[in-house]
Amino acid sequence: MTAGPADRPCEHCGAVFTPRRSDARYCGSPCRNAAGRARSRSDPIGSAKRADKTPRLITADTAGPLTWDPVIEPRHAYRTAEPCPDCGEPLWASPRGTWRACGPCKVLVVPPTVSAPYSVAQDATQRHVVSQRDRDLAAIDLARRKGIMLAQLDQLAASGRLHAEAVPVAEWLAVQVRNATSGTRLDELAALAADPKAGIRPRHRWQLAAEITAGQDDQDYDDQDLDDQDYEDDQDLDDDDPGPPAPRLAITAGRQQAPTMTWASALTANGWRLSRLADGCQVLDDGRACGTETAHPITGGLVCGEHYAALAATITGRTA
Amino acid sequence: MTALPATTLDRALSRAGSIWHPAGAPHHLVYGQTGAGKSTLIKALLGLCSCERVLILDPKPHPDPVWDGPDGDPLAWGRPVTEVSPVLGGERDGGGPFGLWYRLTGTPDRAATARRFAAALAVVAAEGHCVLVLDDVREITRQLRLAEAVDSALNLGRSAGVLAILSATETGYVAGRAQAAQAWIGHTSGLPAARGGAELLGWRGAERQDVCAAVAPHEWIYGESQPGSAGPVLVTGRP
Repeated sequence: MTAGPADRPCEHCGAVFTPRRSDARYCGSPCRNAAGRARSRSDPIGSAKRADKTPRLITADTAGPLTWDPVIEPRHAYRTAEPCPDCGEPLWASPRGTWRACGPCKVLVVPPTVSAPYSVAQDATQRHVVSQRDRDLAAIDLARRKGIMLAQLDQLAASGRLHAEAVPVAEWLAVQVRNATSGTRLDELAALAADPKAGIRPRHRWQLAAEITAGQDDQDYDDQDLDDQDYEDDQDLDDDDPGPPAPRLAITAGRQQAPTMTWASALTANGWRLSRLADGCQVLDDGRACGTETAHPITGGLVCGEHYAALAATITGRTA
Repeated sequence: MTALPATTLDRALSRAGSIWHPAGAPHHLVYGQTGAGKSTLIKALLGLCSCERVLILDPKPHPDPVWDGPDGDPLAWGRPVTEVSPVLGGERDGGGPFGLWYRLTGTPDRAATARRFAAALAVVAAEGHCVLVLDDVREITRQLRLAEAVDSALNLGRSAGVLAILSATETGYVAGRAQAAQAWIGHTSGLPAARGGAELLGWRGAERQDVCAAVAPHEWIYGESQPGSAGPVLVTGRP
């Protein structure tokens, strides 16, 4: 018998056979079963035969040179494109790239990207250090904003000025505000409250202007207006008229102030740094520690009264 | 017992040093039980970092004498600090060969330790360019609950130049274990521990678990997958 173009050898017995399927590997069931029995239980898919990185099971005594022997190129210092701050020559990076050195100046240099997070002119793409104090301040700001929004929602619900269909929406919004974990989420909820599709609308169309103003001004609602109006109008309550198109009750997102400046950024703004090893005031100005006796702690160290006042002025000047 | 290709620690360190770079294999994972020689191996790896900025996080509640320097050079393995200041190493006031090595130590107050370690990891994540040694990474990630901070720092390996040496006695709850391109599997006890070591090398099967279980103290199976890799090798000897 002459082998046809589709014939192939059986992977178990080697006999040439004509497969009835394109992916047939064995000439018949006996060979398939025998091959299955012979397959390694600990390596059923045969990875040990295929992978090059599996261990070569030879004894240590007979081990020959490894593939990375005898030549192993050590990693040396390499030239970077960063200029030396003193002479402008390109800096050399340490073998692992964590530090820099200037050949002509023969000094070690802080990599620019290490000090960049403390520079005053930060952009959005640059990393910056977030201290525990920063995290605490952010949490406080979030809690304050949530308080403002919840108070607004509570007042709206208690005022009786909401349309009956908007009351559950306001309750849902209050739950979401309580559960919010970021200022971004509060911004989203505030925008949602202002969206006509959300369904927060007044009970009477003539209340629209007052509601929006109250929300945007972030003030207590003027309950005097409520006393002056007749809210026992059951006819209005049961009115199927959805009211004016897109009436809105704005909820402010609780933003009141820009992020405050930190001690670290104030130090950088003044061109100072802190030395933990210095006694007394630990401010380093032009590489010289102040050392004046002090009792003013700031984040990361102690400073004297004069430096404390200057830093405080920097911070308040930024936030004013 | 079957054996792996064997080599000396010096030759393995030469190989590790040639591929240890943010763009290559930035993170090491050293796995073994107490007494396996993890700290000794870490010190040997730090020998490749003489002019690098190094931060060692030692979370133990009490000072570990293994990091004490010799009598004449108490800061040989880094200056002990209680907090990490910005631009760490800028004043070269640390320990090590070039004053760039620092060692952040734990205290019995675990909450305070967690805060300080979180702040240190935030500084490393922001500044980059640091060899981060996490001695007992499981303690840091599980007991101190800093798994996310550790993962964030390790994710910056290539982009920000953060290199890490993770030391672990267990494989569970170890942040960053999947990111370690170089694995050192040492002496362990019991089949589950051996299985954990084999899995870190990408091995499966009882035979390979037996290989991991047979590693003696101060011996290592060193595995990496960089170009030119010889596959896992048995590393013997001390530095």
